[in-house]
Amino acid sequence: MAQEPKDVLVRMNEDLQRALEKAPEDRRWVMVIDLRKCVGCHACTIACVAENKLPPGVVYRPVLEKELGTYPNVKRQFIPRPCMQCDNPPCVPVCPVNATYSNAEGVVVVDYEQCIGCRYCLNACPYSARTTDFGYTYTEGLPVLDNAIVGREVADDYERTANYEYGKEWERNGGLVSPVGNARKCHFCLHRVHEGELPACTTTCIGRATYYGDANDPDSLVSELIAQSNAIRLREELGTKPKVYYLV
Amino acid sequence: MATNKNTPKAAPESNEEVKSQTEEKTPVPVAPRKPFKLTTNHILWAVGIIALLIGAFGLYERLTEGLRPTALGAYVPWGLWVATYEYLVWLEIGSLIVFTLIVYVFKTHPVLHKMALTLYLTALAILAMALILIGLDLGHPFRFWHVLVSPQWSSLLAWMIWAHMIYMVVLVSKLLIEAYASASSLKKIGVFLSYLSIPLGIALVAIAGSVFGVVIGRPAWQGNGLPLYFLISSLVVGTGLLTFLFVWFYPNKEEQEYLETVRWMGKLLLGLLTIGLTASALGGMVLLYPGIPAQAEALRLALFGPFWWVYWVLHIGLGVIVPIFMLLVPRTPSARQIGVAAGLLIFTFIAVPLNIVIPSQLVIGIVEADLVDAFHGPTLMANYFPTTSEWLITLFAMAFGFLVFLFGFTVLRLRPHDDSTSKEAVK
Repeated sequence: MAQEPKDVLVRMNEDLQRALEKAPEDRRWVMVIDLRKCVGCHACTIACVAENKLPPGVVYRPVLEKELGTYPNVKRQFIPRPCMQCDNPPCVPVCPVNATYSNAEGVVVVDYEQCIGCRYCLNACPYSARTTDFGYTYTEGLPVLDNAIVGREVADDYERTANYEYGKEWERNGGLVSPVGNARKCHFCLHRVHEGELPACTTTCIGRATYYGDANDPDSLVSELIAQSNAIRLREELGTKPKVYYLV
Repeated sequence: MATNKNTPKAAPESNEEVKSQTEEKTPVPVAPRKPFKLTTNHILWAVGIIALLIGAFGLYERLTEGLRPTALGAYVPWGLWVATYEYLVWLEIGSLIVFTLIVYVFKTHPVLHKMALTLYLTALAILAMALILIGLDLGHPFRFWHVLVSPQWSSLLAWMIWAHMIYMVVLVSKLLIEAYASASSLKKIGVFLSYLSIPLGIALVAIAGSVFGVVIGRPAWQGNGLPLYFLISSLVVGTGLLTFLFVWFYPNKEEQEYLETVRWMGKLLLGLLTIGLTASALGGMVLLYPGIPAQAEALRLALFGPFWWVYWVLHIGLGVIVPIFMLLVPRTPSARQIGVAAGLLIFTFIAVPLNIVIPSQLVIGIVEADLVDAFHGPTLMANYFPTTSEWLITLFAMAFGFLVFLFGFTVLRLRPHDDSTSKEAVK
């Protein structure tokens, strides 16, 4: 009897556990997004916002929508755009204070405590994958609802609860304290990955259109997918060598 | 305890006491108070302080609310402050390069050396404005020192900040030597620093242009044109500033040497302005001809967008055509005409960095409209116009620089010196 194929999430989880057994420098995290499967539900965007407690004006994974063709031959295409985690990232050498760099696993990270907020990296990124945190909150200006289950205080509490980007607690207490004032970007949910969990966008994708894993592992799902002839990367002509692949 | 007013005073116990009591009785003649006379100085101080106080509202907002009161964001991260910073760098460095070349290298017009103190003071005031603006543009201004203690040398921004810091030290040293040093060894150091400031200044302006030129995320900036264009702009606007200061502040305007020098500077300004205009026209045509959207759209936006008047009216009209007309049409333009032409040029030249910095970032809204529509938020807009807060902080920086100049000029008396040994001083 033929073995039933595994769900991709199960397989990716197994790939992840194998990768975590290796030294960080032996891993090469890549993300593959199957544009044929993406339905434009924006669940990945919202999952990312919730996971990283992103404030207004900060987004790591927007989904671009394109309308192709003319009636009656029309098609709508959705393009999720996380940080490309380039092998040759234009945002890294421009940072005047070494606050952003490719870590041992090849993921471009930001040292919030070192960043001076010059926003040079925002201009340098050809994918506009970086945004800046000016300290906005979603609950500003909302009415205070006394004796109600959901009022501004409750929502405020949620927004103030720390996020755990880069494995540290980042509270948001209203002051001009990092990550407020900093450049912010997708980091492949390293804080989850190091705990053996897939990135939030990957687990939340309802169409199983986002894949994540170690490209240095020949048995991983992502290794198979990026070897396909329909795997492309955005703006390859710039020589940035992105680690995000699209299946078209 | 209450005191009886009729109680006789106690007898004096010492000679000193007797003397002091006698002095108390003698009425001391009081000099009549001079009536207050309102002078231009008073008005200038008042204007500067009022402008500083008005601008301080912006500073308060900036320090308490961060960058929220600005129109900056993810797609337009740099705005008025960065553009003004570049403009001020051009002014500061350009004027010093031109001055040093004329006075120390070619030694063609030694009379200009009398302007040294005023020029260095002006440059220092401009430097103060520039550093305030670029410092407050940072998301974390109080981490400015990170660039000094842990710079990344692959970043041209780090090079720019270091070059500007070194330039500041050179400039202050030159100012102090020029103002207070009398020993010939110190004077020689001053001359050496002047020579040093030429390559350093050229490097600083070129690096400032390269900061934009190396950015592959902004195709309209990217390329080898901007460093050279920055240098030309700096020389044009620097010559304008030097001419303006010379006409405005030179003490003996009847001197023949002064008139000859002003007219020569008018010609120099005209020549440099023509070169600058040619360079920008050629650069623009090269961008427009292939019509690559990300590059050409930025230029089209500057030329024909909603703020077309910044380029056509402010820069080309008031900043180029009128000064050229004033310098070219009269057979021998007067010093005043040359000064006004230079003033018009320098005060409208802010349009140039504004048109370099802002439209190139706005094209994301035209070329990559899908991204702008993908997710909405307060900093995710592809449009930009400076907010009141940004204008106020710019006013604050300008007022601060103006007061620095005023303090140096009126209190420290760093004025054009009337030395008859200008030729000796530059040897």
